[in-house]
Amino acid sequence: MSVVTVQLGQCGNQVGQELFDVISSDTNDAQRYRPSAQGKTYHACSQERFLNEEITGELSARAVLIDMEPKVIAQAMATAAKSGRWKYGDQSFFCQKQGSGNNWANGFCVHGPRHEEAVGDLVRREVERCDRLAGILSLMSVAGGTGSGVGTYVTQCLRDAYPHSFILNQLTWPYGTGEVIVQNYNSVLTLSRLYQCSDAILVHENDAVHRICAQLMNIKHISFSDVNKVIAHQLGSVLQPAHTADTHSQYSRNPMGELLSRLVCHPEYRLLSVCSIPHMSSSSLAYSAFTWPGLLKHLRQMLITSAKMEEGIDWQVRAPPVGQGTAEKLSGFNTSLANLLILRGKDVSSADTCGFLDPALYSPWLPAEGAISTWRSPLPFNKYEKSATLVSNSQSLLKPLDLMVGKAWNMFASRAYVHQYTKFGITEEDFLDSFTCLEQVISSYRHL
Amino acid sequence: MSTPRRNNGEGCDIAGGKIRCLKARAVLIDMEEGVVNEILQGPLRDVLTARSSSRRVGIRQQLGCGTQGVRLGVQGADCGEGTGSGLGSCVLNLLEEEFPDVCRFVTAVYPSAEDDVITSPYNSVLAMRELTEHADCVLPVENQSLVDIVNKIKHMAHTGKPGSVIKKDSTLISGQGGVSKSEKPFDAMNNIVANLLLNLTSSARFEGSLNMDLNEITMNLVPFPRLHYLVSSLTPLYTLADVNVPTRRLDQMFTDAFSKDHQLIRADPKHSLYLACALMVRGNVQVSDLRRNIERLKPSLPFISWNQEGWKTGLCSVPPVGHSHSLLALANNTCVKPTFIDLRERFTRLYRKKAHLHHYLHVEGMEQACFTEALSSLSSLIEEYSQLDATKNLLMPDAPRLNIAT
Amino acid sequence: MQRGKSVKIKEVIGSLCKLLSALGVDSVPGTDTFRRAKFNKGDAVEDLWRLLYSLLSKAVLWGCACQATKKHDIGAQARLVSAVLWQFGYGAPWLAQTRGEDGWGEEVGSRDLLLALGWVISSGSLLETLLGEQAGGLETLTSLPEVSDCWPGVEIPAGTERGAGQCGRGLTGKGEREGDLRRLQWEQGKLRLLWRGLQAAQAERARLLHQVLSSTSGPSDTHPAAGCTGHSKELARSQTDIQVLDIYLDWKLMEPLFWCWMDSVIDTELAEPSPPSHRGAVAMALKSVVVKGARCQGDSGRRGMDELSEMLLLLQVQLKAWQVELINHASPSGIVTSSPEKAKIQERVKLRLCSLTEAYAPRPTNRRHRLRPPEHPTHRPHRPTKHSPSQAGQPIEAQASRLIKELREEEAGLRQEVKRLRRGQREELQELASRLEGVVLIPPLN
Repeated sequence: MSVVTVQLGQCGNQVGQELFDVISSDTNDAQRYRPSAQGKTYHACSQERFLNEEITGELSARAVLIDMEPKVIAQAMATAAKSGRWKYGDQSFFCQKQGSGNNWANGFCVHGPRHEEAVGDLVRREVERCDRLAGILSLMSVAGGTGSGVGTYVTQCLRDAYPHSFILNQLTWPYGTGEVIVQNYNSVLTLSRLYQCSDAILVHENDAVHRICAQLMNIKHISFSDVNKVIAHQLGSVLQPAHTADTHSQYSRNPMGELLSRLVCHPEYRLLSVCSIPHMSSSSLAYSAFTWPGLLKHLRQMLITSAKMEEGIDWQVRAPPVGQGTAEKLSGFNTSLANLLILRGKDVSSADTCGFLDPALYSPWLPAEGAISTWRSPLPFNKYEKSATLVSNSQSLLKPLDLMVGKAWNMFASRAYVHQYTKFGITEEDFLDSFTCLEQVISSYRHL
Repeated sequence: MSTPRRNNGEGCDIAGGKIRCLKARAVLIDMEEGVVNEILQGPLRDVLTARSSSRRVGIRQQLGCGTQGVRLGVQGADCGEGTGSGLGSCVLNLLEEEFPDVCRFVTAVYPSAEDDVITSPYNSVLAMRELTEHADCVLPVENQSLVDIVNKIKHMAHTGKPGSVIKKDSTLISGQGGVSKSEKPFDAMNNIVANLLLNLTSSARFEGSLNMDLNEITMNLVPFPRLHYLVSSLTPLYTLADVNVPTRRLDQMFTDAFSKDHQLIRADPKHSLYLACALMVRGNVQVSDLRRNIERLKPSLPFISWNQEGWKTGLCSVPPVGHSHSLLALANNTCVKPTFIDLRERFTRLYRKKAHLHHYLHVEGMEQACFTEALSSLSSLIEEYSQLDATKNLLMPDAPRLNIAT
Repeated sequence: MQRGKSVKIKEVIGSLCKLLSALGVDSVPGTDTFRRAKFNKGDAVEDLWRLLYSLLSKAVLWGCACQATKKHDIGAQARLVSAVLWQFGYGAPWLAQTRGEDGWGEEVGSRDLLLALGWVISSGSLLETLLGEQAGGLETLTSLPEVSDCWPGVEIPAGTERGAGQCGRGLTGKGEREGDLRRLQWEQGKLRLLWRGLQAAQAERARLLHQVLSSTSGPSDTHPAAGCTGHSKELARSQTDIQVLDIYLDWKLMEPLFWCWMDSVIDTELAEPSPPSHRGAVAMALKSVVVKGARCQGDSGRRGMDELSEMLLLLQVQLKAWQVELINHASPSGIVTSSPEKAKIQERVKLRLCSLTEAYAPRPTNRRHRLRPPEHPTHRPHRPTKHSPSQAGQPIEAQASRLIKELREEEAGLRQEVKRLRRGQREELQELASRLEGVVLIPPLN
């Protein structure tokens, strides 16, 4: 049971490289500090999930690197090789000489179709090396041209090629401002299409992660690498082996399927957000101690206020009394559809998650028992003695999504930049279709 | 892309710090041999192939023989003189026909008001039409601005303020001897333009955590096809100081980039409307520095209603030689309009009297219609800018969103 | 022209032979046998007996005991064949003649056998049934459970329901219904995802199983295909199936020509003067069948009708003759009965025969079922009925059993009649004998 990762564009390749780094170091730690059978099975399970063992004994990532320019891929491969723990396959990348120039249409209509076969071959080769394909994880941004445009096209092709496999797209949403001017157009076009072909869309907002870096990790000069490390940490804590409710003593053989069948069963609700606790710099980690009740209390409040970090959460927000029906009247309250709680670390079996069982947290039509599930692993993750991660299908992405669509729509109203897209074959009709699709999503979440 | 072309075959020797095995992907075009020959005899003689100098050769060859990565033509042309404006715009057409996928960047040098060529307004307006229709991006540069900047540098060098010692090797005033007396009059000015182009292409040449290719510039900064004139500003220009610049200095660099003195045309972008803006940073600058400065500058800069967050950023980790970091700001700003209006006025002043018109009309293929068409093209361009300018201080309501029936 | 035609015929018969052997019929003779049989050559007789035997043994399922013992006994085979033919209503006169005798009928001409063969082949969809059995694997292949297809289909109602749900939102009780609908969609989505998980697990198991099999198959079996002998077997089987189907298609193309040729066989039969009444009738009957088989013939319809009426006439004549025979049989000692009695008996027999002909009149279209022996209707229950189109099989089956029942009743009635007649005649005889002085009549046993 293995996950094949597809890294697309500059952002996807950088995040992917950090993700594999976190996973391999965490896996090694598990074996080093827990020489018991426990650590060994964790190690073996994680390794099977993410890494191939080459004939030479080296570990190579089950990943395909795709970019339209060579620099980022070269850097990612070099960094991986330098780690000494793992590397990327020598043949598992695809790059061209010229980027998509931030133009989604260029990636989707030109680069994607042109390189469909080569990319498909790479992915197929990785898939064939798995005993069992647990799913495909695509990492990409929505702002640029390659990650979003080519990424969307590749995801569509993957859906055609593997109609019954699980496809999870991890998207990095750009900063509200400053990265790419046409990012809102690119995001709208990407999201509307991914909503049709992906099983779930897991979103990380650069702004939120940036704040985590600044306020929790105390990083003065935040670089993209820092941001990507946090994203990788959160992703890793979701994807590393854990005991699910059904498999008490064994690690799940079907992590992606379990994740999706808990969270994204309804075709109208496919957006997932992640938050985890605690985040802190490695220097202060040594002097900190956490209790499960404390962590879970914070995490619960983060959930209902849709905050991405524990600092500065609004403790005034409370769940509405049961029976009041929709939570629309309560401003600032975040209604969930379904949540998955992943707890890792010491005394994990003692952690009491009943705070998340409150029916008031959830939409009236899905009872809380079906909406919350918990995975546990007794091993500490990524050097954190205790850590809790919450993957949530809730209204928390409603606001940023609404903002994004609003900005794009404003721009579209004056037809600015549209000629850059029509040049490659994306018509105004296509734009309108995408807007309609996303307004539908917004409406669905708003009425949760 | 646009890395120097490496000649095949012979081994590479960089003897005595000089590059001998690399050849520039450059085509030199002029109608008289003097300038080209001078360049070919100069310090760049090893880099340029002799063949490049012959008149009609080579663009196709140069672009064609470059690896598939070459997708770009950066062109330098001046709008005042005959060869630059006339032949330059002709070459532009040729390029568009031959390489439609290639992004066409033009740095157009606009003549100063007291230009030594009387007919320069004619040439400029005629060239402007071609630039508006056929280029993807134009970086206008005014001679007068360059002159002003050079004068200031000289002034500072002479007064010798403490802490602002101009380093001899810095790229800004490189060449033989920096600001020494042997310098030719235009060298310093040309160097500024050269630096502009160096910064423009740096992200494509070096690695960085946020790459910015040239085609991304067009994509992000040109919301409407004809409005592709980007005002550029370059820092540092005056302060060429220590390598370890503290944060305050770094922030100063961002402030400078938006000040009137650092613009390469005589305009004040801060008081005109921004359509979009790009910041291309080189050196040890992190994304948080960028964000902080954008947040700081944003309130003082008027942006068009639908593009309040119209910032594009690029981070290139390799700084220019002799600096710890540098910044190139490109702005699609309505402040280019006065330059165009000025140009139109000088044109109409000449054209009303039909002065010197016969020099043009006796050239085959040149008709008076060309003049009127060029003029109307320029006027409509000015009009388009004016319309956007009119929205500057209005509070534009958001466009009503699509409604989903529930 | 003539030459070309004969070559063509050879080809046609060749394709039939090929088809028969592909269908698993043993001892298929060469094409030349058929040609010689057309001209009633004696040396073709044995081959045709064998062919008929093996063909009928394929089509008719008699007890395996007799099948095994009589493998090489041509006489036994011939007897069996004629019995089967007789049983299924093939009414050629040579059958009637040979039935009573103990020998296997050397006097039967090869042309007769050829005609019998034609009759057997034309009997319904015999070849098609055999084909269906032979290529039975095909059906299992095409009827694979198509699980994968049904899932995308499920998604469509989900979408339409969503629209419907949103229309209904404004109506009364909107929250409840909306919620229920969404809940349902959620559960449906969940099932879909779980199903995909199961499918992945299945795929993994198959893959691991394959690995285990290939690693345990031993070092001697280094051939990569060794692990999947099942596959190669399956492959070989489907290849033969395809071959058989090809051959059958060839035959189907040639079939009209074959029946034309059979026509010519019948024509030669009819042209010969020897016993016109019997032979003619059967030949005509056959011919009508042949005409039916060869539907492509231009004016076959009209011709067929003409021939049918002619045949009916002949059959009536024949029936008369049989009546006479029956009566002759009924009075074994050859003593002439009194005329009023005789008339009465004749009348009664005639009536019976009439009802008998009536019973035969609705000729079943699917004669294959008439070929089935009534004694073993459930011998191999999964055979033809399974494969044959059930809608056709049911009513005809019922008709056949009813027919058999009627015939049995008929037979019982006739036997009683004969008994009664015999008794009466015996009494008459005794009376006559008692009148004669010095004569002691010892009545025959029973």
